[in-house]
Amino acid sequence: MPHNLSHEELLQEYLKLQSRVTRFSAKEQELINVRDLLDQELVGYKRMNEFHTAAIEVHEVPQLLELIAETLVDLFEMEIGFACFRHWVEQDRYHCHLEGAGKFKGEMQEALHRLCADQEGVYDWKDGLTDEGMPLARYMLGKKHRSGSAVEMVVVAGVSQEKARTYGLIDRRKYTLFQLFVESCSAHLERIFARERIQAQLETIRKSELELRRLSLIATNINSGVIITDAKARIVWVNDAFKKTTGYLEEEVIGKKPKDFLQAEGLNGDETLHRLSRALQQHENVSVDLKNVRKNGEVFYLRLTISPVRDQENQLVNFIAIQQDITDEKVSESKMLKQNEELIKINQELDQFVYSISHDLRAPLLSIQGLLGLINTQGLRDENREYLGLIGESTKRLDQTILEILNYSRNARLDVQFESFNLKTTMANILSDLGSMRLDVKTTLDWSGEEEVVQDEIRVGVLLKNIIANAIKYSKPGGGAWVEVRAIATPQAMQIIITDNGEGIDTHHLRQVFDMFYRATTSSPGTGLGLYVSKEITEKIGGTISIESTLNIGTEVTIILPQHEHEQISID
Amino acid sequence: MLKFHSYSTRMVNTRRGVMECLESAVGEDTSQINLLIWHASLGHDFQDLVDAARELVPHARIVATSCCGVVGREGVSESMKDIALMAVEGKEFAVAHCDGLNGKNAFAKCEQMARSLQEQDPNVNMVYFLGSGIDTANDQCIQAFESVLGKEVTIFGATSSDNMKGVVNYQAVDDEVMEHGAYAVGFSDPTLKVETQATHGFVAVGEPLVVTKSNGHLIQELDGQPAWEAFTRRLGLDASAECGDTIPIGALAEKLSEDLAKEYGNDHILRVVTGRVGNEMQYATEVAEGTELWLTKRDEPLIFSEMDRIVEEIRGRMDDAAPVAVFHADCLARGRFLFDRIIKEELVGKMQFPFYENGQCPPWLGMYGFGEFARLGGKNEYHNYTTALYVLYR
Repeated sequence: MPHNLSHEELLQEYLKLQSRVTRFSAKEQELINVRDLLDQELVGYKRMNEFHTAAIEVHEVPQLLELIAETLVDLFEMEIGFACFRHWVEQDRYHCHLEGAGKFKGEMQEALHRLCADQEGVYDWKDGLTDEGMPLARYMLGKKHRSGSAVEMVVVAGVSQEKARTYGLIDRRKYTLFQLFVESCSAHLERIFARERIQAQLETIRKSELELRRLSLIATNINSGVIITDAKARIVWVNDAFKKTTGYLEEEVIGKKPKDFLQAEGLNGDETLHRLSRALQQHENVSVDLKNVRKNGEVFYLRLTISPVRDQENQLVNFIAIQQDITDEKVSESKMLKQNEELIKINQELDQFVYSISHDLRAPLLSIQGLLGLINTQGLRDENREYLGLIGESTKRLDQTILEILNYSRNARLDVQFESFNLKTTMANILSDLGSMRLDVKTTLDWSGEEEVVQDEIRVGVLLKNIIANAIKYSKPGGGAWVEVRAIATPQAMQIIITDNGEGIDTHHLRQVFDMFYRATTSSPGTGLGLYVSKEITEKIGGTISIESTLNIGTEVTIILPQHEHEQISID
Repeated sequence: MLKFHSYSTRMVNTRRGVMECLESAVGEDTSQINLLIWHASLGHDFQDLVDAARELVPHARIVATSCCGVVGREGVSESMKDIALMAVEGKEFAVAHCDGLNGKNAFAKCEQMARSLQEQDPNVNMVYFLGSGIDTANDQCIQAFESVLGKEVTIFGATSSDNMKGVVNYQAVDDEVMEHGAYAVGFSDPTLKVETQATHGFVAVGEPLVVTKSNGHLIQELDGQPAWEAFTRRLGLDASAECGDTIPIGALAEKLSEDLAKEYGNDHILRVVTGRVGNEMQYATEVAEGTELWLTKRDEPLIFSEMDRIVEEIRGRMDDAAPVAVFHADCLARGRFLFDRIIKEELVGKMQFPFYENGQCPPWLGMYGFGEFARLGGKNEYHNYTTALYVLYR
C-alpha cells in the first residue's frame, strides 16, 4: 500500500479491510457449516449402525417397519418416516408404519399409499411436490423391488407442507446414506423372512420328531411284534413283543431275513407263501396268516401284515411288518369247527330220524283212514258210529301233525331250489284244494304283475297253503266269511297279502304266533306248528312274513319274497 | 421444600420420549411430582407432548418450550428429536403464562404474568422465565417482572427457538400450545438460593454500525442506510439472506461500562437479530438511536477460559453449598454451528463437572435457544450468544 495516501483514501482502505474481516467470518461460517454437514453425515452412519444393532434383534415385520420409520425421521432429520411392505403372493401380508405425522396421520398415510403405488423404480427422490394436494413438501423415496421375490418394500422420509419452513432442504450428501439405509432395510426384511422359513422348517422337524417318538413308543410297547427291515427284507429293528413271541434276542435276528429262521419246510401252503413273496417283490401291502416256529421249536400261528415304506423320491427304504400271535385264536377256531361238524352231523341224523319216523308213522295211519272208509256204518249202533267218527277225526289230526313235522323236516333238511313256476296257477290250485275245508267261506284272488316267478316252488306252496288254510280255518262261522288273496309280482320281488274277516288274534298273542307250538286260540284243533314252519320257510327262501290282526275283526298276513336266479343255492 | 429430577434423551416418538424421561428421571411413582418442565426440539409435536405428559401425570402442572437442542446430565443433543425434563416435587411454586407476546406488548404481558405469580404466591423469590424468542423486547420483559416483584428477584431462563431458522417457536402451558407465548415459574422455596452468570467469549471487530433510526426493538436504519442491507453487506452476505443465515456470524455487540465489563470479562454484551421485517431488523431488546453496534468474532480460547472463570465464580459465591438443580441456557449459535461435537462436549463437561456432588451431576436442564437471562452488575439482564448457568442450591 502506498504511504502517501490521503485521509479519505486511508478511510476507504480501512473500510475495505474491515469488510474483508467480516467477510472472512462469513466464509469461516460456510466452512463450519460444511464441517457440520460432514459431522452430521458421520452421526448418520453412527445412527445407521445403531439401527442395525436394534434391527438385528427384531424378528417381526411390523416391529421392523416401526423401527425403520423411526430411524428415517431420526437419521435424516425429517418430519415423517414411512415404511411399508407388501407380499404379492400372500395378498393379506401387508404392513405399514408412519411415524411423526401427528394429527395429519390419516391424510398423510393415504397420500403415501398413492405415492408408493404411483412411483416406480429404485431409489427415487424428489424435491418439491409432484402431485397436487400431496401434503409432503419434499421427500426421499426408496423402493426395493426384488426380482424373483414376491416382496416389495417402500420407505419414504419427508417433510410436510406445514413444517417445511422449519426443516432444511434435503442435502444431496444424504442420498448415499439413504440408499444404503434402504438396502439394509431390505436386507433385514429378507432376514426376517428367512428366519420365518427356517422356523417353519424347524417346526416341521420338531413335529416329525414328536411323531416319530410317538410312533416309536407305540412300536416298542404294543403287544404285536414289529419288525423293520431294510429294502432287501433284512431285519434292522424288532420290538420287545417280537422277541417275546419268537424267543429270539435282537442281536440274533438283526441283518437276517425273517423267513430264514421263522419258517420251516411244509408248514405253510404254497399259495400263501407265493402271495407273500410276490407282495414283497412288488413292494405291495400284504396280510397273511402263517405258521412260524419259535426259537424253542414250538409252532405258532401269526397274522402278518407287511407294508413297504418309501422315501420322498418314492424309493423303497424299509418294510414294516406287524405280526400278531393268533395261536390261541386258531386253536379255538379249530375246536369250534370240530364242534360244528359234530353238531351238523347230529342235526342231520335227527332230521333223518324225524323224517323216517314221520314217514313210517304216516303209512299205517293212512291205512287206518282207508279202512275206516271201508267200514259199513249202516248196521252199527249210533254210539259205535260216533266212535268211528271220533277215530276218523283223531287220525286226521294225527296225519296233519305228521304232515307239519314232515314239512318242517323237509324245510330243514332239503336244499333250497329256485326254479321258474307260475305262482298264480299255484295259488289258484291251493285255493281250489282248500275250498272244501269250509264251503261257507268265499275265497278270492286278486293278481297283478308277473305270473311266472323264480322261487322254491315247493316251499312257496307249503307256505301259502299254511297261511291260507289258517285263514279259512279261523273264519267267522255263520255266513259272510271271506278270505282274500292279493298278489303283486315284479321281476325283483313278490308281495302276497292274505286277509280274512275271521275271529282275529288278540294283540298280546301277536308277538308269539310264530313261536314253535304256540297257539293263540283253542277254538279249532291245531298243532302250533303251522305259523312256525311258515316263518322258517320264509326266512330260508330269503323273504319276510308279518301279521296284523284285530280280535273279532280279522287278520292280514303279508309275505314278501325275492325273485331269484335259476340256480340251486345251498343254504345250510 | 422443592426437589428436582431430570432426564434428557433423543427419541423419535414423542409419547415414548415423554415416558422415558419420566421413568428415568422420577421412576414409576410420579405421585409426588407437581411440576413438569419440558424442553423439546422442533421435531416433536407439542400438543402430543403435553397430552402424553398430562396422561402420565394428570395432577402436575406442565410447561414446555421449543429449542434447538438440549443439554442434560446425559450430555448434549442437537437433533430434531431431543426432549428433556426437569420434574419438580413440592408446592412452593407458581406458574403464569401469556399468549400473543411481541416486541410491542412485552412489558404489559410480562407485568400481567408477574402479578399473577405474586397473587398465587407472594413469596416468589426467583423466576424461571421462558418467552418466545422471535419478535420480543426482552429488556421490557425484565423491567415488567421487576416492576411487580422487585429488582432483587432473580429472573433466569431463556427464549424459545426453532432450529435456528427464526421462523417459529412453541411454548406450552398445561394443555395449551402457543407460538408467541411465554411462561414464568416463580419459585418460593425459602431454602433455595440461585446464582446466575453468563459468558460469551466473542470480541468486537472493526468500526461499529450506528443505529440511525429505530422504533422500540426494531432497527430501521444503520449508518443512515436501510438496516437489513447494511447489516448483511457488512456480514458479506447477499441482501436476500434470511435471519437464520445471519445468526451464526451476526452477533452484534453493545459496549458495556467499565464496571460491568470487568464483571462480564468482556467489553461488550451481545445481541441477536431474531427476525427480518422487510428491511428492518427485529432486535432482541429496545434500542436507542445512536447506539453503536459492533460486529464480532469468536475467540475460542476466550470461550473456554471464560467458561472456567464463571463456573469458578459461581462456586465461590455458593460457599460450598450443594447444588440441587442447574438450569442452563445456551445460545443456539454456540451449538453445532459453532463447535464440533468434541469441543462442545468438552465445553459442557467444563460447565458441569465443577457442580458434581459425590460423583453425580445434579439434575440439569439445559437448552439451546435464542437468548439467555442472567444477572449482571447485580441486576437482571438479557444476553445473547452466551452460556448462562442458573444454579439452584441450598
